[in-house]
Amino acid sequence: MSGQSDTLLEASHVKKYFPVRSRIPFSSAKAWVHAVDDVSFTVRAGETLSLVGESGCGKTTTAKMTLMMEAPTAGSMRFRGQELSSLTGQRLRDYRGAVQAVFQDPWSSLNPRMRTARFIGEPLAVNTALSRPEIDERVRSLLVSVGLDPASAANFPHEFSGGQRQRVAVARALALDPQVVVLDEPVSALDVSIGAQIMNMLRDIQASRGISYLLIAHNLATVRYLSDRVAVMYLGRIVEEADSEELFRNPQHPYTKALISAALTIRPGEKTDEIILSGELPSAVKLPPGCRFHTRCPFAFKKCFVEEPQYREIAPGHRAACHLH
Amino acid sequence: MTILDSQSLESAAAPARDDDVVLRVRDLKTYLYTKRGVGKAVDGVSFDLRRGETLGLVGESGSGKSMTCLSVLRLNPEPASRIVGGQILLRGEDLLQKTDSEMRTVRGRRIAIVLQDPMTALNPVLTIKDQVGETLRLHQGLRGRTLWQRAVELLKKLRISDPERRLNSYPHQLSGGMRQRIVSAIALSCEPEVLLADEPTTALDVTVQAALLKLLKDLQREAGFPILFVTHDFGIVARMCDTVAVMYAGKIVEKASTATLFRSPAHPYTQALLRSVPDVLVETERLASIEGQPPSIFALSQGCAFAPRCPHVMDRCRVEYPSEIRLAQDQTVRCWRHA
Amino acid sequence: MDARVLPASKPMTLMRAFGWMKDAPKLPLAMVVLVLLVALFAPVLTPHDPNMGVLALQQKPPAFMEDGLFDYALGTDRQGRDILSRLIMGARVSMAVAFICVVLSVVIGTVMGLVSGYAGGTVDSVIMRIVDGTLAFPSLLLALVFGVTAGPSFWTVVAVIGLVSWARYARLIRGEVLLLKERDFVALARIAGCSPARIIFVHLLPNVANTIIVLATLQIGNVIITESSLTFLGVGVPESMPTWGRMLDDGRNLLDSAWWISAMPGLAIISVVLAFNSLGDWARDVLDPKLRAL
Repeated sequence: MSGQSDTLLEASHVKKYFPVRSRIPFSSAKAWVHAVDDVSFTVRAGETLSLVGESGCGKTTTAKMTLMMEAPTAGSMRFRGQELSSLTGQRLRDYRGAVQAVFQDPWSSLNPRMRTARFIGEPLAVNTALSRPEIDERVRSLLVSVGLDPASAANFPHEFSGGQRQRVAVARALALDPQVVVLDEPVSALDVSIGAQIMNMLRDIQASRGISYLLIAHNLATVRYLSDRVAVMYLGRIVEEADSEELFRNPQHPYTKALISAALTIRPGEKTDEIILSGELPSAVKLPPGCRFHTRCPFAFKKCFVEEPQYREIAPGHRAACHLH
Repeated sequence: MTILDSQSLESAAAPARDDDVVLRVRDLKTYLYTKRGVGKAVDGVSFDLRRGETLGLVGESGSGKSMTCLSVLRLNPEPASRIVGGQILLRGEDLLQKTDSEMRTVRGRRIAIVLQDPMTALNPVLTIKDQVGETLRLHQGLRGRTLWQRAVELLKKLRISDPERRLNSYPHQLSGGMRQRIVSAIALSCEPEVLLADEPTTALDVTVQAALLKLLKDLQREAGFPILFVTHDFGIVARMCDTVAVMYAGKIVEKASTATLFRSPAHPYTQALLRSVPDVLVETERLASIEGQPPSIFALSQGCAFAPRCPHVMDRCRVEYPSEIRLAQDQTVRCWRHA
Repeated sequence: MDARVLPASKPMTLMRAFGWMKDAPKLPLAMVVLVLLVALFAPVLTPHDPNMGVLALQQKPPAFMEDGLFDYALGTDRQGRDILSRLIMGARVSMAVAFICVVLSVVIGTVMGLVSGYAGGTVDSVIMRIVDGTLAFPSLLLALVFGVTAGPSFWTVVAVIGLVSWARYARLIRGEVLLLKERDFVALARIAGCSPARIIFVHLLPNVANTIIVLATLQIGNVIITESSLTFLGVGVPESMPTWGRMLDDGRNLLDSAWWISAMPGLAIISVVLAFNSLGDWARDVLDPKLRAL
């Protein structure tokens, strides 16, 4: 798929290991947290790819690597064919403009001492040669496009509600006309009705601007509503990937099934088999041998304890890593 | 409050027998006193909690659901907030008439509470043994060997593997799900008559949440204590609750059995809220979103608090707060449309 | 959509700035303004030569006491010098020392703290070890070394106090930056392509302003007192410059017979320190946009 012209972001065999300090002083034996362990995906123009999983699955670290907040330990991360680590100067600035982010916590995303106009306009002030009045003009139209009153440009963050703050954060992310926006849990800190407003707004913005989203989320309902394709992560690895509808209708990996079963639905009639996972998430320092899910998998058999399953295509566009297939 | 109110509170789940009622809250009012003025955080809330029943208190932030929960134990933050009216009857005894020292014997022993963040509920410098043991020692007078055995037993009941080892560990050595189980173990250690749960699973991963919910349900089935479950998540309501009360701006706007509420929500707010949640099992074309924001509890008008956002608003709604209207045996609503 | 409910806050204007001044605590504000004016115009305000004693008028009590002279309103010291005149001249030196020292330590301490906290790693370790060393080093010893090698002077005092007190700023601000750095707006600034310098000065600095102001107002009192102890040790400002600290020290042995010699500068020090502290509290509230709205 890497050859396709509409591929924007491409990660292939990306790994990120963090060293853990040994408890014994001066000991040279190093241990590693396998935060992301051989992950590959592509984000194509105009689509939403979601990385789903529970805490510790490596989805946030993956997002940080695409945002160049962390450098991969191994593997390659490319944007329009260019290796991210090789970007410098103008190329790097272009990348900054092309890939932006919205984070989970709208209270932490906004600088409490900065007025909205300056906050939204900052990417323009830093990366372009626009004059102050031109920036102000852009800020006003950005505010309108996220459904805020242009007069609120002079507000400080504390004068906004959570939903409004998240709109401000989106406006800033859109300032440089990005091609990809990384959405890291964009609605999980918001109230239900406000979350719906933000999700609808994100869909509208995508439709009108044709941008791509890389959505990081743990809530499957949010993922289903917003995504075109979904990749499920467990302990640093993608265990299943498919088109959104296919994945939710026809999940193949036991972990995906457990996730869907655990997700709370308000339509009790549609209930699937209940799969309650037992045990705890294994340590990412000492990964279990064989399939890394076998310690909690209700369907695990002998092979799973010793041999790591291949991540392969089980149906067109549907890949999974499980010995059951 | 009218007479209608007290009748309407009869739960949907079980055919109402008054001696079944463990906790009865009547016209509870908890107001906030701040520089900005008086805020009606909880404004005339009434409900009954019967043996074995789970009542879901649903609402968005600021709706007063958590304040209601805290007020039941008189744990509302003072002096910023005060309970200014109503009755909280635990098997007929009014908790609001009790002295502070009498309340201490109610908290933890007769009414237990599990809060959202298990990390802050546990003391980081004490072992799990110390913390589980504290309640047992205090309320049941257990010591030494029996205390240890009871603690191990309790952890086993909460399906915590390797309880002996966990008892000697510190909170930070445990995962979030494990910590919340410990907190629940402490809460249930004295076999309380009522369990209050204030968003206990919000900080947890979905699979961990599912396991904890199932565990609570199983324990409830065994011991029969009623649960007041405060949540913002209708998914949890669907899985856990027999009855639901939807709160908006300090008042319960609709109360119904869970099945009825999902099948035929009557209040425009409930309807809109249900349509604004995406679901994992079905494809959603487009979410309905409620325009505007919840009102400030410091500046509530005479009329219905939802009127400014309501698609069906009528003149009457703006001037007069709707009285409670019974739609069915198991459903009441505060909305003039149904009058 | 949902923004229209809120009135937009007005941009900051001069009018608004003066509007806040209205809420300033009146007495402390008046006190600080008075002391600053006195310090500025000291030479024209002194009724007598602050350094010239009149032998016949030694240890005269203040005017309100029996035997006091109206012409020497706050009494005279052991050498017959007018205490009021010396207080006025002393205000000049004490304020100058205080301000220069505070500015010096704020600038050094803030930059070091911001850089240390933001950069982390080796830079952080090096700066923090210097801070530890500075805080552990006995400042009086440093003062003595300076005084002996460079000779007692105004600038010796400033250098010694400045060199020692920046470390407290650095440590506190680093601590705050470590917390702030985890906030998402810092990550977003990096993602938007902001340079480290911009992140430090545009994003982090305004968020640690409160700490700096509170610390600075507390330090003003400290500096005045430190200056007096340095003067007492003989490494402070030279004899010819009256300071409040020196005056306090002058009357030390005469507390039972001529208490006013120490009491007058003591009162001056206490009221100025209190005034600065309460102005600091007020300034912190005014600078916080969240509290401003309430």
